[in-house]
Amino acid sequence: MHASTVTTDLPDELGGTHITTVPGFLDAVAEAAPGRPALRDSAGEGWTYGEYARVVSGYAAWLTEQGVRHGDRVLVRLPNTRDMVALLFAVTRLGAVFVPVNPAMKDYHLVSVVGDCEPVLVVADDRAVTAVQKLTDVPVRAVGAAREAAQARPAGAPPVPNAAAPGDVAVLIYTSGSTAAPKGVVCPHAQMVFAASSVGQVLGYRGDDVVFCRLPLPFDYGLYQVLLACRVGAELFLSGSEPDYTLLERIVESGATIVPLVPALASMVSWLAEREPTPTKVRMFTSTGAALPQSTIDALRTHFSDAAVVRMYGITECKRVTVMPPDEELERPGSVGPAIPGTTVTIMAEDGTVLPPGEIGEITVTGPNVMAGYWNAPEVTARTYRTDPATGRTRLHTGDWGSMDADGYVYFDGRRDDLFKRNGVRMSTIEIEAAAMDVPGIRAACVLLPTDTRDLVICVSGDVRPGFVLRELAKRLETAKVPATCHVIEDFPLTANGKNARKVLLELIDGTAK
Amino acid sequence: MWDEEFERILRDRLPFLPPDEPLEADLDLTANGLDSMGIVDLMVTLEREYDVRFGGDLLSLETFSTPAVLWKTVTALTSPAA
Repeated sequence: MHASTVTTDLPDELGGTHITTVPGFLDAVAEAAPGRPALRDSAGEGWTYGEYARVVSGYAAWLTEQGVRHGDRVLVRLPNTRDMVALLFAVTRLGAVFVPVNPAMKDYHLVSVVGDCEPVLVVADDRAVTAVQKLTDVPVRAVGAAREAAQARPAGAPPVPNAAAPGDVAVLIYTSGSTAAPKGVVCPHAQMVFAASSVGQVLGYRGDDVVFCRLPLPFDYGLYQVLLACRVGAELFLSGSEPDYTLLERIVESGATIVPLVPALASMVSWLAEREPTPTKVRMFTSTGAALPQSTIDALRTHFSDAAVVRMYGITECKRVTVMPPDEELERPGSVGPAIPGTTVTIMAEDGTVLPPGEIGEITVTGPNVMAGYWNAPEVTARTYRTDPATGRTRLHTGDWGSMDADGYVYFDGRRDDLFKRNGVRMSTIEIEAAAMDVPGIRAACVLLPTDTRDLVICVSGDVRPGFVLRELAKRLETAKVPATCHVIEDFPLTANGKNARKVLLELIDGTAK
Repeated sequence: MWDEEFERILRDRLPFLPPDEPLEADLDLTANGLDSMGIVDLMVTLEREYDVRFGGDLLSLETFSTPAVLWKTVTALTSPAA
């Protein structure tokens, strides 16, 4: 078994500081090793940890001028830039709540996120300000103006103090779930510090690493790269707005040693490496989002023989559930690893009994990584974050099913509800059907889950054509959530119960396809 | 006009274009589902099938904007003068 103690102290070379809040990571490294390279973006420009901390204070002073106070939400809609990371630390050190949003998020969802988290301020890319202003009455500021104000702060000005407490909410991460609109996972400082420490410990990030972040920062595994790098004083390279056919070149140019991936990125990296075998310094790929197919793992190992390929499993609701230790990468194929240090994973039957090794049940999590529920959603929170009757502690019910072997290694099996993953993106039929009902001309919509023999399908009724429906859905949903096929059905089964409609349609679609 | 192979390779990567809708020369590939991963897949596949190499001035996101632009690029790469 693995060491289950987790320390949130920084390494001795970084002063051994005990960290309790998100800004604490940056402050400690900036104090102990101000000259170390901290952050570079694709423009090629970088900051040392000392510069990083000064810029963050500049942003924090600007946010204060804008009226941001302890507990306020600040929605930041930016690509992967240094501004985005600086704003993470600046917002959270005021004790305010950072709400990162991917610029690729469709307006349809952005409106709902703004309505849900009620920010006092929105920060957006200079070119996007006008478009975002049309969606909300909240003040929208251009990041360029913020950056100028931050840089204009005199070099000798005292740092803006860290006003965050461990129990304060640091970040709201919006994720799609079992509801039509995205839900905000409430991430307090203490949980984020613990999760970064535990994951960083088992993955073995080092001070001399260069971490290549192509994952969008509003995606939780992207965001945690900031903390994982900071925790050991490593350098973070932000990538994101360049075309992906240059992915391998950028990995080489950045000198990256750690490359976090999702399956789609892993495929692209392996295709590009096959096209043009290139020596890199990569020592570790980590993968999350969905199970990495064995063929992709094998391709990465072939083209990057010096790199470990680490399997992991996690959900935003507790950041990460399991990690396969890098030195065991070739063992137990099919497993996503044991619970991260300091946490407990239990496989449970639906009636709450604990299941023995090998039996499939719901994956549940207890420990300091379990987040504080969903913003503004007490009912879903109560269903997902339940109080364990035996201990009184919060137990996260992931809704994912799997089993565990006698040594505690978890094997992921899938889901038993309408939530599912496709191309590494978690989605629900409810969310896709709600988007379809937003399309003019559609009277009814029903999504059929992918099977072994066919991809995701949507059936609609209305005066529409299939291509129009798919293209309109693409305006409202991320590409991965748009079904592969649309069937327009004249005699749509209209029953009182949606499940019945689904059953009839399944017979119609899969019955005729066979 | 492009050959059948090109049309097949391209259509395979346009999830929002149903088989009964024509592949117009000026079709917006992005609106029809060609995403970032699709572009890399398309580039690697076209390179293999046509024995060409995308690169330099002939490689930009504009290259993957419409079937006409993409076919023009493939043709330029396969012609001896390229």
